[in-house]
This record gives sequence, C-alpha cells and structure tokens, in this order.
Amino acid sequence: MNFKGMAVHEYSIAEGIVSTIKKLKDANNLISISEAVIQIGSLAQIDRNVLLDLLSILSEEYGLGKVNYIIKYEESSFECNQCGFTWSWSHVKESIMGELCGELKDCDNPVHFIPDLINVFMKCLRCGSQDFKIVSGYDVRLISVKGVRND
Amino acid sequence: MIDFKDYMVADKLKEVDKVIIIGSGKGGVGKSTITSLLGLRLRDLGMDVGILDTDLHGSSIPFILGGDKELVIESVRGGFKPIELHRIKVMSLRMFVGDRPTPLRGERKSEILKYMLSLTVWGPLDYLLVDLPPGMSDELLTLMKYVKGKHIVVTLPTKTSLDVALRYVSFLNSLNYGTPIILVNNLMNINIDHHEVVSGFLNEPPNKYFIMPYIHGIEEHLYRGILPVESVKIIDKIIECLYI
Ligand SMILES: Nc1ncnc2c1ncn2[C@@H]1O[C@H](COP(=O)(O)OP(=O)(O)O)[C@@H](O)[C@H]1O
Ligand SMILES: [Mg+2]
Ligand SMILES: [Zn+2]
Repeated sequence: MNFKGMAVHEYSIAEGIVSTIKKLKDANNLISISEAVIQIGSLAQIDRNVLLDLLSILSEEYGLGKVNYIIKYEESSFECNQCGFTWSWSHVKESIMGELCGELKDCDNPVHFIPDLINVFMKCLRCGSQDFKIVSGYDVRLISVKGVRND
Repeated sequence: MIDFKDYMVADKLKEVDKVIIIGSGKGGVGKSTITSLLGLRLRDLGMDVGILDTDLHGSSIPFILGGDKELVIESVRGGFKPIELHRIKVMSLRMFVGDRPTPLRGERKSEILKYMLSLTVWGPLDYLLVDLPPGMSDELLTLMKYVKGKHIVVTLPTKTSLDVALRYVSFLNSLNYGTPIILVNNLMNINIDHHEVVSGFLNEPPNKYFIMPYIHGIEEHLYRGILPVESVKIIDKIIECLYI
C-alpha cells in the first residue's frame, strides 16, 4: 500500500460539509447560515486548523459568506466486545501510525480516509481481539447548523 | 446530527448513467466473475465502466482483473480515485487493507460502504457494476438506500443454491425493483437444458433466466483483461435484457 497527497482529504471532507450546508440552506429557505458545529474524533486524524481554514474558504466559494464554525475535538476511545477492556487513541496512536505510515509519522492512510477501518489495523490491548467498538470520538460529524429563515 | 456523507453520495453518482447490481444468496457461485465478464464486454462495446467491489471480507475484483500488485490509493479533490485495470475503473476495499483479514460487524460495514460511495471519484461512467458479497445483509441494504439499479442474481444449478437465489429474487420483487435477472452459472458443467432441478425451480414466469456455461481457463482470461468468447453471447443477451 502506498498513500499520496496530504491534506487533500481534509479538502474533500470540508467540501462535503460546506456543500451539505448549502443544500440545507436552500432546502429550508434560509437567508444566511450563522453557525455550524462540527465534531472531530482524534481517530480521523483531521487537522483542526487546516479544516477550519478550508471551511471558511469554501464557504465563500459556495456563497455562504461568513459562517461561525465551531469545531469540537473529541478523543477517540474503544471498548472490546470480547473482554470489555477500554482504551483510547492516545495510548496506541504512535504504534498504529508507525505501522501505517512508517517513518513519516503522519500520512494519508486507510484510517484517515475511513475511520471504521480501525478494526482492521488495531487489536484490543488486553485480549488481542479486533472486535471492539468506538465509544467516543468517531469520525467527522456535522452536529448542527443554525441559520436565519426567510419569513 | 446531519450525516453529510449522505449528501456526498448523490453528488458522486451524478455522472453515473446506469447501475447493475450483481448479488446472490450464496458465496462462490461466480458473482465476481460475472461482474468482471460484464465489465470487459461493456468496455469492448466502447462504454466507460466502473466496478465497485462491496465484498468487504473477500474483495476479489482487483485480484481477478490482474491488479494484485501494490495498489495505490490516490486522494484527489472530492475523495480518492479508483484504480484502472484493463481500462475498467475499480474501487475495492482491497486497496485499503491489502490482504489483511477484515473482521467487521454489520454497522461498521455499512459505514465503510457509505464512505466508499461518498468518496470515490468515478467521473462520468456509462455503467457502474456493483459486486456484492453473498447474502442479503448490510452491504445490500446500505447500497439499496443510495443506489437504484438493475439486479442480477447469480446461482449454481443446485437445489440449495437455487432455493436461496429465489428467496433473494422474491425480496427484490417485493420492492418493485423490476424483475431481476437470474443467471444460472453452470460451474459444475452439467447438462442443464434437461436438468429437472433447474427447470423445476425456474420455469415459472416472470423470472427471466440465462445460463452461463462452464468456461475452461476463465481465470487466466480475466486476469489478462480478455473476454472469453464462450461468454459473449450470454453476456450480450443479459445486457440487452437489462437495458432496452
Ligand atoms: N462460468 C464459469 N466457468 C468456469 N469457472 C467459473 C465460472 N464462474 C466462476 N468460476 C470460478 O468459480 C470460482 C468462484 O467464482 P467467484 O466469481 O469468485 O464467486 P463469488 O464472487 O460468487 O464468490 C472462481 O474460481 C471462478 O474462476
Ligand atoms: Mg465475489
Ligand atoms: Zn479484549
């Protein structure tokens, strides 16, 4: 496996968010969008500042003007379905990223693209099972959007 | 919460003209092989073809079409690019996980498929072929939420395989998806024309069914991107039956 093109993925996600907000604005007949709350799980390895920059650039491009983006960063944590053990991304980040990216420490990798693939690349720290759930800080989510209605 | 991936899927499929979904009740009946044959034939007819391999545990399309070397995921504006094998665009989980095992629960699988649908940048396609895993589970149900297409149900000419295939067909019929095509894949190379099991099961209209013969050396052909001549007649009939 070989992954090229850093931060392009942040762009794709930002565009997905902004174009969705634009569609919601049109569908709900809103004059403007004032605020959008976004949650990022650490597992998704999305750079918060890069995402914020891209969101504001794209908002202008999509004619949304100035939107107040609130980004909530949440640490990802896991619970084993087999033995019940719990742990968090910060415990394992270094070793998993080492495995995924080698010496680069950070790269476009399967979990960055599709956080659900973490089950393929990580094992329970106690029993070694790949059968665990993500209990917090999953991927990038659009939590809420606030706007001004046209009436 | 608003799932922006839902909105992204529609954007990604905007330039896809027709979708064919290849499924079956059982595994090892030839779904991926039939998908590849269809892909090669449509390509030979001058169409732009993409294959989405949704078999998350046993994704085999890249393998079948000769893409077993190192697979490169390239991110582009909007997501990632499918790889090209013999002028067919292919997206498969194999590109992300290589040959690692993928023990995944249902919900996880649905999300993975949703990501694949929302981030694959196909560009304009005449046909998108979707190769399903066996069964009527998360992959099929998630796919159906986002993609409307014509269905082909592949089965072996055996009682057990036909039994499951017909349940699959009746599920599709109950959703008014139009009559799916049943393709009896004669893997065991028996004389099907007078085969009582097959005719007993399939004689009832409105099921439309075709028989794919056993093809010697099919794997080598597909690996090199060459359509075996024995398959052309049947594949053409299927294409004609699906879209006229
Ligand atoms: N018509 C056929 N003639 C000869 N071999 C076939 C034919 N169809 C499928 N096969 C072989 O049968 C095996 C299973 O096919 P595959 O397409 O992987 O099944 P599935 O996708 O349903 O699990 C493969 O080795 C394939 O080469
Ligand atoms: Mg298969
Ligand atoms: Zn455990």
